[in-house]
Amino acid sequence: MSRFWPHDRQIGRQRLGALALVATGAFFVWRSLAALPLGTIDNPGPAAMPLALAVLLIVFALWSLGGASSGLLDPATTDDNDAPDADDGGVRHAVLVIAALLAAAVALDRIGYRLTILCLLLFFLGLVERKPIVTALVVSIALSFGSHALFVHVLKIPLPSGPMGI
Amino acid sequence: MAESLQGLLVGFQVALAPSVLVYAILGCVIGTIVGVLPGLGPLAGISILLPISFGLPPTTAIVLLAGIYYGAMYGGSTTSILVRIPGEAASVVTCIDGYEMTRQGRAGPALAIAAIGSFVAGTVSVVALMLLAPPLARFALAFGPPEYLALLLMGLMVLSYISSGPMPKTLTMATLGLLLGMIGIDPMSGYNRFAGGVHELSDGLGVLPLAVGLFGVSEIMLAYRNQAMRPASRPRLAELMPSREDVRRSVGPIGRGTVIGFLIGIIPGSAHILSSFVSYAVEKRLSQHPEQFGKGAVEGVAGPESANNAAASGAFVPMLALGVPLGPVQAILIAVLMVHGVAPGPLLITQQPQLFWGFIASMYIGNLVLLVLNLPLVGLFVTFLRLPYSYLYPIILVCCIVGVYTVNSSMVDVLIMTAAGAAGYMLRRLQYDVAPVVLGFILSPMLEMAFRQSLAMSGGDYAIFLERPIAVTLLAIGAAVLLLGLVPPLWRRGLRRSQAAQ
Amino acid sequence: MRALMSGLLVLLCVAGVEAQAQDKFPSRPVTILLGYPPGGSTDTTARAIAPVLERILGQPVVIQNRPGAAALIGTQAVANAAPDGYTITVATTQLALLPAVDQIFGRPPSFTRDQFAPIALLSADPSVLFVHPSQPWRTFQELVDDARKRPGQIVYASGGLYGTTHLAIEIVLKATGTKMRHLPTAGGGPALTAVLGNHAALLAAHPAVGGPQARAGALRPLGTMGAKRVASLPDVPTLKELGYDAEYYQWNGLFTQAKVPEPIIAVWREAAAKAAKDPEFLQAMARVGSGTEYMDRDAFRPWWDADSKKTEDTVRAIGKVQ
Repeated sequence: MSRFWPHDRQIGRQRLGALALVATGAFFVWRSLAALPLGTIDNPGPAAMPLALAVLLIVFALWSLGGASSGLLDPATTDDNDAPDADDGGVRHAVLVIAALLAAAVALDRIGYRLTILCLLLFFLGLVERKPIVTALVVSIALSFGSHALFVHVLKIPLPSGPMGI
Repeated sequence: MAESLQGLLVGFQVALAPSVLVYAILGCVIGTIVGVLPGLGPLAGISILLPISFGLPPTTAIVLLAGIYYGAMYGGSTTSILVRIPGEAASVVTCIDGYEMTRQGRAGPALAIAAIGSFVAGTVSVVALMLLAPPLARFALAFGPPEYLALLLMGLMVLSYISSGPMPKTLTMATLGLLLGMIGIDPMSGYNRFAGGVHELSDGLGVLPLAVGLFGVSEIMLAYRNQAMRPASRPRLAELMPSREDVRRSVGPIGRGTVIGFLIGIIPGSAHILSSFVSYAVEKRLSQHPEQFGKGAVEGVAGPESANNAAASGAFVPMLALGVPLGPVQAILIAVLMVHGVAPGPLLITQQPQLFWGFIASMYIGNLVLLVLNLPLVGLFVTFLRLPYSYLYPIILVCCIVGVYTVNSSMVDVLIMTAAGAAGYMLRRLQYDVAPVVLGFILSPMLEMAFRQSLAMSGGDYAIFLERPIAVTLLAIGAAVLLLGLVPPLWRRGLRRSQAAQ
Repeated sequence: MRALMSGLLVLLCVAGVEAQAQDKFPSRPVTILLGYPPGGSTDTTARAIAPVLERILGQPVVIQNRPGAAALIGTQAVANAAPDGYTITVATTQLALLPAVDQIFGRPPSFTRDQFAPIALLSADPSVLFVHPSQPWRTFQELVDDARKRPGQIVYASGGLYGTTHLAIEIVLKATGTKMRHLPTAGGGPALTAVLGNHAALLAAHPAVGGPQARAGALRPLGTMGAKRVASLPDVPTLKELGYDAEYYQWNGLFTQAKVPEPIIAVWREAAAKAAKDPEFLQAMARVGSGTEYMDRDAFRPWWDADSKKTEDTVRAIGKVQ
């Protein structure tokens, strides 16, 4: 039913977002009180400012959720830099990007720069974008090894090497 | 005055010597390359060429390294405008309107205005540096923790002007940024806050991974389906240069940005990042069409870019006039000076006039070189956008990973960037504007430290904020601006209510 | 025939053993991994000695900066590197300081001193006490007397909590039995700015940092914390001369992992001994205003232990500030 009522879907998402922000604030409140000294008025401790900010975050997150006066979904103030009802293809792509970045971050120190970037590019060009396999291979190899050469040999910035020195 | 001109002539003689000029150009080129890569900033560029600089005579060495610094400033705005990825921290603000202009097919004018604004600001601030370095340095020294706090509180007020969304959402994002800035070792107590035992978080999340993730990575995630969000791939060749209208609208912002940037730049601390934020807010406030900000207003590029460069020059004032480094870049430059046997200090200007004036002259030349370098490159950079987006975005992702990783050789930074990207994507889908997050993130550690340092100085006595003239003045100005700023919205609200009642 | 074969075999074995023994260390490039960023005294010391070591060892000596978490990241990386002698570091107080700070916060230490083997001391400059020229104290004794009259009123700046500039003043306070207020700043530069602007009255700084300021009249030196007077500030007395037992140095030394085999350490010690006397090194250090103070491992180790103990004791005495 909510497919025909994008408004409801939007409200639901906004609520979820506000909840996430409140949870973030709550997390920081918890960590501040549990692990850090509050200090005194004339000598505020490391917990003072984080606690105050975390409480403010909860307050503002709830405020931005409640009521039409907060300008929720007011078309005049909508940031058009998002696609309110992007189809799941967009979400899928976003998830793929994040997954690829995560994999790359972990792989960099393990299999080295060249292999990581090669795999990353092959993944996007070959699998996601379905470019012809030869083109994808050529571009990926050229960019991964080429950028490595640029950084390590020209700019003298070290990049991690993988097994067997690749 | 006559003395200064004479000194400048000597300086130009030194700086225009072919051997020195070559290194100035080399520095600018390398700086631009390094600046264009997201994440990699002037610090990395300078570190690379440091060993080479040791073998050069002192003036040449400084000229080379300063060229890199400038070049990186210029280059940083290029990625901000073209692909919405900040090349370095100070270019974050340029992402906002610069990228919008690119989406409208106006990447050329954006890049050109950025280059021109940077050149004007750089040149004018060098003049100020040259004429006023010692008195400006003394003024800068008067800024202690209470004054700094007052200044930063004013910077906090700027937050509300950065974003185009509804106030509660802006405040939420600003507070989120402020809160994230608390992560890391607390310098006043030694506690490692919210780091969960991850040593790499001891210095905080890092503005670069955060900004690249929130702006750049989220952009790539969002632009996939939404064709309209991608940069225009067929920029109109005839419009590579800014129109007359663009130039006319940029004159004011460039002038104001120069002044704002320079003043903020001379003040000790990394407040110079604030200069572009403050300039953006001022331009938006003064503009006839504030609603255009965030949608490709050229003032949103001209002002911040000028402020940026002016602040970069301003940051050299304490270094040259007092021998005090205010940041890692100046620390390296001072070390280079020392390695060459030049003792930095208040006597540098009088004892080493050749060095000082040669440096000043090379700053003029560096600015000119960068303008000459960047304007033709506009066409080249814009051509880069013609690549099909399906090839473009993987390349951009690779650049992000490399740029962020190489800052600290740390995969934790790449993870932070990824997390920031995911968060940025979700926030933007929910119509939150992420720019205040970055500003809040930068401000909060400085705010907290200035506040607690002030109390440490006074032994816990809050009266210190009222006892110091500069601090009181700044606080008063801030309060006035805040109250004045509240008047229009309250007035509009009253108007709306009375209209609704009719 | 068999005798010939066994003879040949023995010869080959001996040759093999001889070849092994002559397998020179180092046979590939060496890395000096630093926990500090470019521009600081540790970095300039490393850059001063690297080319000399390269010449002596015949292999490239590469410097890598790995700053982060107050030298923790880089130092930990050195401790965890393969103990083959190809990764050394120029280190200073952080080896004792960081574990001591971890201890007072109840954290497991990220590394310990015994993971490191000293090779040689390269430089040791005493901290110098500077005050803003508008302050009334012309001698160190006047400062002490004033501090005794109004305990906790005089403000001193440091480059960071538990840093060397903080510990130096705490040692002075202990030796003189006085109390002062601490203003921590974000580093050496901001600390210097704080005193130059008279936001704090006193600072313990490296002679190369405060010296130029003093010569320009922007700071007044009151005393140095060394055994002898500082060459660049010959008129400034040592605290020892004035009757106070307060000695503290900002020093830099060559270290490697403790598990590195002794023969390899011997190679390093020899190279360091030669490099420390090399005119190129001495000149480079003089230009950045750093003195040189060479000690070979056997003399350095007890010195390092004593300095480390002083550091640990002072950190423990300061404890948690909140």
